[in-house]
Amino acid sequence: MLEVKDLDAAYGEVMVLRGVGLSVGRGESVAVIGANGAGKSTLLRAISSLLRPRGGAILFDSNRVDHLPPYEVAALGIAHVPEGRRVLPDMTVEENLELGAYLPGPKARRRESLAWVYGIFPRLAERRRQRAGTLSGGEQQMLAIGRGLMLRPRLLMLDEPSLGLAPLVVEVTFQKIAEVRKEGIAILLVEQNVQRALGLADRGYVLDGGRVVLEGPSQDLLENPHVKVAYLGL
Amino acid sequence: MDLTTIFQAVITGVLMAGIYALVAIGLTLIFGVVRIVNFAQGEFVMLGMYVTWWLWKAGGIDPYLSLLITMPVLFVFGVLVQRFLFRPILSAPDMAQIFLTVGLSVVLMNAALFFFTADFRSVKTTYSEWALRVAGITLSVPRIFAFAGALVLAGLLTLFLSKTDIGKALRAVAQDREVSMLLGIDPERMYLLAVGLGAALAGAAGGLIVPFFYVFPTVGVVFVLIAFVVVILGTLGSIQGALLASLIVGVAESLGILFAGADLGLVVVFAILVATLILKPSGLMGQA
Repeated sequence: MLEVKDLDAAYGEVMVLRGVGLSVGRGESVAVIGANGAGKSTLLRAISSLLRPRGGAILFDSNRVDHLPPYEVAALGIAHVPEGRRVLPDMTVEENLELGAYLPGPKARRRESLAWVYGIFPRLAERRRQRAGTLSGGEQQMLAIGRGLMLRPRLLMLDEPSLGLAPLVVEVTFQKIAEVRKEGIAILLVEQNVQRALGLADRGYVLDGGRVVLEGPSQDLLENPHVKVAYLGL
Repeated sequence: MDLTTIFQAVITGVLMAGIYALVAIGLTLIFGVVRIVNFAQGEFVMLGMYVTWWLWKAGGIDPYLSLLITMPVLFVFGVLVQRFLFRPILSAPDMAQIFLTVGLSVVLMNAALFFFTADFRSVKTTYSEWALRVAGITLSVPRIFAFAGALVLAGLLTLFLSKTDIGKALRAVAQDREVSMLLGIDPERMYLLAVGLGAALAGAAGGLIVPFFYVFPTVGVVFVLIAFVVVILGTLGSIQGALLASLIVGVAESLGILFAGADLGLVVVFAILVATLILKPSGLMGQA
């Protein structure tokens, strides 16, 4: 469904991604792991067109999407939950969710989607009239994911959902992501929390210095000596 | 000086506050969404005044009725300004943006001078001189209309921003442009809408005051200065803040004129601005 081929990306003069190749199949969940600065966020930003790639191609359903503006990429059914959650702080929880279904297709299903998202995240239903900026970190993460789901995406991209959250909250967040996965939505998850990410995903890629250095089924990666030493501290 | 005179000045200031708020809300809407400080906002008011005056002069159209024409005309003008003047310099340094909007202001003033001459124009309606007298205080009817009209428009804008999807999308772009794109919003279209609305509000402010305010090419200068004070005092981006700050500024100006003379009304306003910047730089509604 999603295919990234030989992708180069840079911020100004600094090359961040070099020849990255990656694919996500229908309903598949894929993790991209790597240290801080390995280019994980840049990869997601390139896929959602927030960043123009320098080279290579990004295909969704075999069509190139790397020259579309971000709002057209979203319209294809790719939801990007950005790093740091980025909820709209001055709007209520419900307004944030409603804006997740801004595009015509998702808007037609807005009521149904709201009920669905509130079903997955009952906490958000309790706080629907509250300003998003006043939520706790964990609640903001749920809101950011819920807002992404309002798009009724076929691919949900999550950038560091565990960032800055207490271990118990990380646990809950990943349970929720597992629930979303069961709905048949493909997930592309970028994480520093390697154990959690590979625990959830079917397959994984290890990004180092902007290159894919390893890839394979999650179980193989978890048992890989390099991964054990470099990312799991074993 | 008796109490009635002071009270009269306060009322006059309050009635003018609605107009100041409209101009300031337009300014803050454009800044909030597009991140451009529009020094030509006062000239948008001036254009609204001339359009209204011209419609009255050439077509005999009542100034309030002509709001239905003035606002759409100014909206389209704002959209064109965004598309052809603001868009090319959005990522330019602040200084370039300031030069552009100041330049636009000068061009518009001189265009008005060229087409309409420097003559002071006025619109005389049957109700221009109407006034209510309550307990020794004179309430000018067109000023009451201007205040009420401004409040209605500010209320409609608030409803638009809080209840409609497009209004929410505008707020989303103001709060986080990148995230708004991920949600499927095209920011360029929201920029067109924001500048269009900002210009339409300024045009409405101009149209509402025409029955009691002279029209001349540099009339906008005062409005833009006051709008900046209102926006800073009232915390950038807040409509309620703009309304409250406009009341303070309007009354301060009016009392300043009463106690210090007609030329010094604005001095009082700017003294308040300086005091705000020293004591509470984030404005009245500011968090810190």
